[in-house]
Amino acid sequence: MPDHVTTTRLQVSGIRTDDEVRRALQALYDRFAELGVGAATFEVADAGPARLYIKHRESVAPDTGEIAAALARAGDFRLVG
Amino acid sequence: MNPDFPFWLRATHLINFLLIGMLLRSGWEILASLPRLWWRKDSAPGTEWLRFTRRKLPKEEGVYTSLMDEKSLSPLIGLPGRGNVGLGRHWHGLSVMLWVLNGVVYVVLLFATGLWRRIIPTSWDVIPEAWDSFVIYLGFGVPSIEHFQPYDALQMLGYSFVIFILAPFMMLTGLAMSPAIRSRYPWYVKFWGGHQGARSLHFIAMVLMCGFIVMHVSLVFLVHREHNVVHMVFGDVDTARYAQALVIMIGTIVAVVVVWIALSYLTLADRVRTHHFLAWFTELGRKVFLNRMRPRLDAQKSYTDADISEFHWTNGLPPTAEESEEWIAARDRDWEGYTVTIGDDTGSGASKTLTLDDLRALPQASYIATHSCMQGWSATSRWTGVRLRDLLALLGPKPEAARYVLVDSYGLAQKMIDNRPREPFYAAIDLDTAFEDDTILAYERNGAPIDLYLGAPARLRVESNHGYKHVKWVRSIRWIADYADYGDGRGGTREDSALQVFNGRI
Repeated sequence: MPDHVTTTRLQVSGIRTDDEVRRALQALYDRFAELGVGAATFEVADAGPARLYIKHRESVAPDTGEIAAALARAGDFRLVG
Repeated sequence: MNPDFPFWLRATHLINFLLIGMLLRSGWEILASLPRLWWRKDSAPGTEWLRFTRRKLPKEEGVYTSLMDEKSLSPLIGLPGRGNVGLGRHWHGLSVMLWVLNGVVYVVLLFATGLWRRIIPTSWDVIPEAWDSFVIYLGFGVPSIEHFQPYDALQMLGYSFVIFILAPFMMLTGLAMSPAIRSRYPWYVKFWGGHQGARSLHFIAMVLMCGFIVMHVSLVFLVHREHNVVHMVFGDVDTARYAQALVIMIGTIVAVVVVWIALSYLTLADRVRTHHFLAWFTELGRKVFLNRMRPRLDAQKSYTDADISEFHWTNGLPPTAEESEEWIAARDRDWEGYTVTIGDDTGSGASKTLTLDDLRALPQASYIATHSCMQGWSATSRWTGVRLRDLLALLGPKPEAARYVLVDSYGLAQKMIDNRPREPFYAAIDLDTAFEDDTILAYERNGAPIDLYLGAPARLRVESNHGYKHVKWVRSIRWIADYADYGDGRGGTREDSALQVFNGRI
């Protein structure tokens, strides 16, 4: 069975500006290689939390605890779903 | 006024000071985008000889993208800082153009006026004399003023090295990183050790240049400064004006540093406006020089199958279900049902839908090429596919109104500039580039179907351009009249989101 790349979608509060996106991504990428996950991107809506998309192999489950901790280090950013 | 320090000499020196700072700071921005250096024919994780990041890289291909390695520099350090490699590259280009122009003016006038004799040694006596000065400095002493006529032997050697060896070396290694140069003259890039060799040598030259600047500026203030500052500011030898000259010089240095930093913050205040200006300015240089380079990789013998890289980075990962159910379904059926649409967006509405078998049935092109990303990584592969011009010919003659070819992907952009929901990745290329021999829709790499993470089953190759033009997971290829009508109107996803320039030749 091939181990394809898939996407996990999370929601993050506190991220609105491009500068906040950059700080959050920098914090995530400091940890992602060790967590075995790949590229991430944010989509920021006018209202509500930002959507965080993380690509990874189907065999790897993103560690939401580590992701939440990395986001918290970068600013007042919290996983909300 | 002393004829040894004419106005043109002092002016070009000051302009050089401003530009070298812009060059270094924009260069650091580029380096921060991929803070690792290699001596290899690829950029495999764990094989770098130097890195400026603690981030670990997994050895596995196809999960970790090179953009994940990008570090964000402070605008006080980088130009412009904050992870803007696109704009950093354009500032580097603008600075290079002006720096070379300033250097040419300086060197021409240096020889025209005969002042070259003060800098370039004409006798072997310079060696023992330079050694004498070096020994004095080692003992924390200062050579007497008689040593300086107007420069001492060590200065002459240093200046000659920087002006006539180090500066040209930086230009030559910088040019070697251009895909337009590489695809036209692959032997030249191989001479420097390939793309990674050129990049590492360019970095070493930058370190030497920084070392020279620190030493040079320090000695101006530590060794007979009452003479130096008067020479540099007034072109005079009357040390009675030393205090006045010192105030002017320190004020000028502060002003230049303020300009360096202001350029960063002004750029970040309106990145799109800055991109518009820098793209226009740097295009002048590309038009004069790089646009004339046409790739001829199928005729070259410098790179062979022995040069194929073991490791190939990626930027962007394969489409997933929320991006393209169609691509996922075709992938799971071994590409049965996969289609590429070729069409005309300029008015006729003509289009054809092709399968992978249809592509394979067309005349084949195959060559060895080095792929380089604007971040700095590279990898060499054998690419096989169909020339874009042969593919588009299936629609008939080029439509009269067509000025560009637009290629889009089943995959989405990694990021939009304003972080809005992602849109399909696309790139536009001009007609000259689209018709180049080495612009192909590739379906094989190294004699096998293209890996999923590198664009399977078919991806664009535009060998005269950097990787951001090489659309992966191709969905459609269309004649268009103007790229301004698509996306954010800058000519491609990376132009729109990362503010790269439309012309990806350097």
